[in-house]
Amino acid sequence: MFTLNRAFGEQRLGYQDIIDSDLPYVSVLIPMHNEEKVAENVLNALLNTDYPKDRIEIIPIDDNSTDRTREILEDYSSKYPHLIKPLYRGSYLPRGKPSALNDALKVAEGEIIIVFDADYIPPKGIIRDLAVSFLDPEVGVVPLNISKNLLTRLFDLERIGGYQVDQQARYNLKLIPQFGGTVGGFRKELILKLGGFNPKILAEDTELTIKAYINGVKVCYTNRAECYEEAPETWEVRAKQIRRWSRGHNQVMFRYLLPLIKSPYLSLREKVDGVFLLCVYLISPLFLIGLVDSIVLFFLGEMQILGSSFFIFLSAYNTFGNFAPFYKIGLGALLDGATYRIFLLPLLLFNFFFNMWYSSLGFFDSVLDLITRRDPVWHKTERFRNGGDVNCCS
Amino acid sequence: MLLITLIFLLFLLFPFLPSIKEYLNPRDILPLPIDFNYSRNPRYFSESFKRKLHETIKIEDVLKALDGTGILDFHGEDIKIYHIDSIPSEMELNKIIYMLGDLKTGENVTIKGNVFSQGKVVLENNSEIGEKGKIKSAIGKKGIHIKGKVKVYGYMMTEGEGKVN
Repeated sequence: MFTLNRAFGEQRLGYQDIIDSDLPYVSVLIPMHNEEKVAENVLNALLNTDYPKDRIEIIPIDDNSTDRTREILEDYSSKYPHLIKPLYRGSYLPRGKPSALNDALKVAEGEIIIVFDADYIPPKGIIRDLAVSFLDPEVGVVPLNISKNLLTRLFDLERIGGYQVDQQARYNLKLIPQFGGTVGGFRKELILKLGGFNPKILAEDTELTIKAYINGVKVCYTNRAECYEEAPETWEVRAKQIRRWSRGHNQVMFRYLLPLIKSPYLSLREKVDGVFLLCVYLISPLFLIGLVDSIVLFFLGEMQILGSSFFIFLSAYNTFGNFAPFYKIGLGALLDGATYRIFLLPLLLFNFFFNMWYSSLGFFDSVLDLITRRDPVWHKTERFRNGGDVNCCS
Repeated sequence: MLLITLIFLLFLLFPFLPSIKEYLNPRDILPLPIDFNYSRNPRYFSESFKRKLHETIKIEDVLKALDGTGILDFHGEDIKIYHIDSIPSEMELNKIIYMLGDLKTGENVTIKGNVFSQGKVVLENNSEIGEKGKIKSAIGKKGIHIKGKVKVYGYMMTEGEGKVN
């Protein structure tokens, strides 16, 4: 449905093309923990912004780094004291992105808060695009280092399908486009009203999206605001990332599924989409259990579906349901003007099993979190860039 | 049995051949291009429309069309030439409107094309310019005056005074 909508449906337009005055004061927050490899790139790119310099402040948040991050921030702060205002968090404070953002919100003066992960490289016009949207915009992204190996190239394909098709279609259909967390913005007033970011939730972006909708606030997706992000270059790092995403997402699912269904502010279609969105990482363990169950039943001779109408239903679902991500990625690649990389699409089959396994582990982590009431520990995704300038912002 | 197994494996491998080829001999590995110096101009569409009109339509051609000795063409689409300074109430037009002087609409007028006036544009109550899902411009070089409930699906631009009441 999303693929068809993106291909043939009416696309919702943002306000970026028609508003050029009354730009709001914007605070750009960049949480950083040991980001010496990427800190200069993101700061250089932000200094290049076309947003009026008297309407913006940049707050890099050094979250108790042990590398050269603090030194880099001090250097930039001394060069641009009115623009770059770092926030240094000591070791006595709880670490993690949500806590860092909460502290930065206390000092941020902007009416609009824009958050970039440190590995993102924002283009010149992106602050204006996000600020003008003024709600809770999402950003289309493309990985930076896709040429490195098979993993980064497959990651690139997943991102193309996710942003170019899935998120834009959700926005077109007035469903629930998700705040990605890595690049996006929100009203400061809104996040303060919602009680800030919860440090006990690993997917603070998903939580913000769902809390906003439950409280009657919409998310606006901005497909044309795009920038590079760094993709994990080793399977081990990617596995940890997926497991963390799944664990955080499921934490949000356990906490907000019922409030979302009961919320008086959501339309029926938003509720249905919200339930699907919240349960997306639940599919992996269900599928895994189903797979194991099917194999066991098959060898026990209990699989009596061949020849029945159920088999036809299953085949139809398999064709149009399970392959939906492949359709999305195919269309996304077409819309993005990608060429031969689409030939890698069949290899995503193996990625699917990899993702399924680590998403399932993340789900079981979240179940344990729920049962034992333990607090999750924040693990930062390892960076692979070697520092220095990147072509975009040198 | 061995032959069947080999044929089965061959068919299983077949969908992956393009992938393996692209993996071993990558032809599309660079990040998708992003113009990092791109800075959005919110007036792009209206400026572009105005520029195209100026480039395409010369005043002498307009004058020829007005005296009946010529016809204007704008990228294959006829441009309507009006000898009047107002569009009557309830009228629906599906063309681009180009006015040498002022343009005044009556009430309940619908214009589905772009509107460009060298003078002022006055839009009366319940007028509509453009249609849902299509970006159109309403440009009154010397001013735009909106009276009552007016819908414009797109952009309004003036170098003069913009007035709403």
